[in-house]
Amino acid sequence: MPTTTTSAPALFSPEWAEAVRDAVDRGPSDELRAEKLPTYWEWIDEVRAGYDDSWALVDPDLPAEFGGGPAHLLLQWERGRCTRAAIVGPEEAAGATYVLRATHEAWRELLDGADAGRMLIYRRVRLERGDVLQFFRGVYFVVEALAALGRVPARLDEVGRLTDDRQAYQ
Amino acid sequence: MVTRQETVQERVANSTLAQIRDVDIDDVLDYLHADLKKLPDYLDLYRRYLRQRWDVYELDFDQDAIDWRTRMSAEERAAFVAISSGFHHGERQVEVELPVFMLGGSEESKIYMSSQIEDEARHTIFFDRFYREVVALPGTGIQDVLDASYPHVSETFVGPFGLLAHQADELRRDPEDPAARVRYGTTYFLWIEGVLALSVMKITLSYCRTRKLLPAYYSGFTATCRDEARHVQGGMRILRDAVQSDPAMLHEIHETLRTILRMNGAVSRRLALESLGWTPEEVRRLMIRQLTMKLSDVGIDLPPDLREQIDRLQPELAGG
Repeated sequence: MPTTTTSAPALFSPEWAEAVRDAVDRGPSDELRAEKLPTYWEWIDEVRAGYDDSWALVDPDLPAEFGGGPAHLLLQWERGRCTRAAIVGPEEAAGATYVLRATHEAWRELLDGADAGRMLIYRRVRLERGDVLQFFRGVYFVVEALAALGRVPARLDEVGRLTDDRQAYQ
Repeated sequence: MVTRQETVQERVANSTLAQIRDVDIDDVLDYLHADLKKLPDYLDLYRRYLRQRWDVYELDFDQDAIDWRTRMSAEERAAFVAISSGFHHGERQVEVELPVFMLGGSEESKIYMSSQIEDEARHTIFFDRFYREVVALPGTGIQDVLDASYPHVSETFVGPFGLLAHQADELRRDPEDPAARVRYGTTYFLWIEGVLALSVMKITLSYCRTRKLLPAYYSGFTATCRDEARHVQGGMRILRDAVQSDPAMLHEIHETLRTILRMNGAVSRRLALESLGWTPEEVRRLMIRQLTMKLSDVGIDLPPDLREQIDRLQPELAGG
């Protein structure tokens, strides 16, 4: 088990944001896609094809050594491509189509591999602002993007804990 | 003929937990729909709850455990767990998301809602016992067993049940918001209880009855279905009254149904329904029938686009 993760970017750093953009834009590997029926991915592909919304993902209590909370990751989608990922201030985040909030503990769970769909059901990840019905018309796309985000290695605290040991070995 | 029908419905209404083992699921569904046309008021439903309440700890799952191990094939067990796990988590979900709805509405509806919350808690315990004592999932607490059964839940469960969680959040901001109450009620009472729950009940209880298996599950789940009859009737009353009070509420029902039916197109896992005696097409038709009967009985008209969406409904029982 690795104890230090100097190579992993800190959560809510610009480097991490870019790694997230790349991961969600790329989508799951063929291996991950094979775990679910093709119709599920076809549904997501169809939703994604015309997707132009933006998401602000919020950690209200990011530790001070990482810049302190609230921290906001903005992901902008244009015709199904994630064209921008940036760490932004609260004003810009408030302009996103959907604002999703999770406590720092919930972020840790997500990056430790917790089921993204279940986190939405239990409101560990909570739609804080945005039209609920419209949001759920693309819900499986959002869930799979959150799962992809969760697979991006990141440092979560000052001791340099890696959140995803599987990827640390790669 | 009329007299015989009344007798069957009285039998459904008045059976004790021990007697309900002999009641056919189709008779419970008929009992549910018979009252949809006149829709009992909230205190009638509350009185009925007091008469029909059953003790989940009276059930003896010993024979079910034997049946599970010795009389059901691996494929049947897998299909049964797959279809029941959505219900296990669904009962937990409708239990925890209902109290916020009770904060609004008339005093009579609040009294009635208190009984439904207790029903949902009891149903959660029913599945907790079934998974512990029959399926033999590990765990000491309720959350442990929920965690153990979650891998059997389809990825699309987050569709209707995540939607309900966030509609409950909307209600928390203003429990008296009529549009938010109608959107929540459409997801909870019409779709989750009126379509998903009743379809799963019909499928699993028909299987148990035909194969003469799982007697405690059959009794408890048939009693659960009778409880659901009250919930659907109460829920349809809420929707009907809301539309009668303000016809603009019909738009909220339609928009919610558009979302639910949009999510229904995604299917992440194949359920081996055939091993329980059902084809996907039969399940599809069952779901369409459950939906259209409720809509027509309470006079909710649909625009053509929604009718087309219903025609394309997928037999997706977990995710909606």
